[in-house]
Amino acid sequence: MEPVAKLRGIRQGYRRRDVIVDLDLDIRHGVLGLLGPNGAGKTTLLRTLATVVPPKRGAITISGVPVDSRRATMEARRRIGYLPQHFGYYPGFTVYDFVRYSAWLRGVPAREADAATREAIGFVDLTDRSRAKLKSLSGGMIRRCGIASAIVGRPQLVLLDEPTVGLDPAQRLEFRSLVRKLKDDRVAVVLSTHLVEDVAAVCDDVVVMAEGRLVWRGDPEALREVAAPDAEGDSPLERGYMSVLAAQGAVA
Amino acid sequence: MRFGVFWTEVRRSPLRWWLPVLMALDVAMLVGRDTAWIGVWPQASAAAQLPAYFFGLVLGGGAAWVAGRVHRAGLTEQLAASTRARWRVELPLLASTVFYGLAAFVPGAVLAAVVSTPEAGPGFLWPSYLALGVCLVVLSAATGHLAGKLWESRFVPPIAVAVCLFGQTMLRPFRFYVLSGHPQVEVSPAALAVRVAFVLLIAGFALAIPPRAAGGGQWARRGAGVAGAAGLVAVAMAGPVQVERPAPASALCSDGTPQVCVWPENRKYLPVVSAMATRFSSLPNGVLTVPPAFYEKGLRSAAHPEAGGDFQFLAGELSVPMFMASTVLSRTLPDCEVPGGAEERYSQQVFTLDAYLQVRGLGDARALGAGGGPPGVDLREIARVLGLPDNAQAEWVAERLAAIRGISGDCRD
Repeated sequence: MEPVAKLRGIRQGYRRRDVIVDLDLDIRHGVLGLLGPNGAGKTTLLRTLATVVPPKRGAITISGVPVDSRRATMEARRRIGYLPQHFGYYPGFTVYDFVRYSAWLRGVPAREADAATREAIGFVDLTDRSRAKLKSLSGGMIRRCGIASAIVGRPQLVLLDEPTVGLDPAQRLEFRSLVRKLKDDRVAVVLSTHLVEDVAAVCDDVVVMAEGRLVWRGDPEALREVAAPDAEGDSPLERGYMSVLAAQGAVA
Repeated sequence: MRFGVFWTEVRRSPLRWWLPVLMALDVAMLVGRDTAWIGVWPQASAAAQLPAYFFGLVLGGGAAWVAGRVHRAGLTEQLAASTRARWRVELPLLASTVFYGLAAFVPGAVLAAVVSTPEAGPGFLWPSYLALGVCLVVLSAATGHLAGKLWESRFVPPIAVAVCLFGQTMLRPFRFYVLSGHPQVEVSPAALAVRVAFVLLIAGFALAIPPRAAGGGQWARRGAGVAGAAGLVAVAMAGPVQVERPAPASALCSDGTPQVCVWPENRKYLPVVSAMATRFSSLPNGVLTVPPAFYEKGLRSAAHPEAGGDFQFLAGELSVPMFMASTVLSRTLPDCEVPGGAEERYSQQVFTLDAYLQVRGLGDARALGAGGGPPGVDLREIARVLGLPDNAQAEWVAERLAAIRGISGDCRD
């Protein structure tokens, strides 16, 4: 099956500093976990995938269409839902207004926007709070609202950057169940995180990044299996992850 | 639920709380300065336009606040990933600010029209002045929006807007407002067109220039700065906002003697000014030389180049007796030279007679203004004289004239 997104030879960075180096990646339906230490280039990769910053070099294809022109970029953005780590919102917006505004930003046609907004709000189980102002919601609810804003209009690719940061355990469980629902909806999800438990709970596939490179790829089970006996970590998956990083010299 | 991004921005704009303040400022500036504009269409139009300058400061500050919300709310990244062009995202924000500016401006204009209609006669508010007011509203909103995008501080943008708008006061060629709308002048079409173009340019920059917070866009900002400076030069080179208006083919004139002619737009003043002229000419014994006609400024050259005297309405009719008294005195005492060493005595006599004539012309002491007239004038004496019969007043005037001629020595009778 054709990947939802393909990256080939991506080099990305700021001015002369390269943050991502020669990265190839195929993203298919399901949940892809993006693991890596701080500074590994996870956020830069997501921003590149979201077409926020064009790559310095390399090619991106979304749903089979090369993102090589402004028009193609705009078309790709309609297919991508992006939730930045520090996503912004207007506290005075209601849940409905915020998600509807996100639909407008995504270019969802006006005649479909209301239904799409209600569907996204329903997906994150906030229908009964759709008239509540965001400033009145808990952190977990705001995060759900953010997910609704990322999935409104049924994008084919959803990019979630550190979505569980700041959530309490109950809210994290809630979030994971939402991601599973997305997976059931045949959406390709890229979940950037540094929490290995999130990966264990929801991901079908895992990519480990270190120093701007893709250093390992496999499913969570395979990551458990690469754990060295003396690796640090509280769980087999964590030990596998630390072993991959150690092999790259990315941990002290 | 009916949704429109524009209406959402209108609903949540902080200016919704400031709208009553803007409207109060508009009405306060409309009726608080003076009310002489009532009943004169161009004056009412200019009066309706001017408050936009004053509440523009508040509007610009609000616009800066609204524009700054994008980065304060942390939406920069989501907007960067949007399918909408940046200007499309900014448009509802700026449009909502303009909406509130117009919501404050329009009621003042309607009020000006309503209170003017009974006295003003045919006609209506002049669109060119209203266009200037709308220009000011959009300029304030766009300048504030731009400042809000360029500076993330909560305080710098309102200050920047204040500097821009107050700068107009100091630099006359860059003004987007007029203080009054005398019938003798009109808004220059060229100046208005250039100002409209400039406002659209700034509004375009406000929408399209990438904010600093989004990173990049330095060249766009520099280019906009150069284009904005060029636009300002064009505004200055377009000439003054108001230019002289050709005299009407037929002025509005009274039937009495002396005749009084005013611009048709000043029709409401004709009865009161005719009465003033009559009071000058009604002193018996021909002690005063009153011209056969008085013309409002701008009419005499078109009608009778040599005859009559000019007057102007500077703050309603109160200024007219000053002009008429001056004309009557100069015709009654032609060629008088002030003798060396007697300036003070001469001036006191002339000032006293002038003050008497002004108060007689208007019918009360308001003619002398808040200062109470020229220095050394005894207003109680003038009040006493004005209480006398016309014959006695003529005698008093004759004595003053004789005294002046006695001091000068070379006045012609």
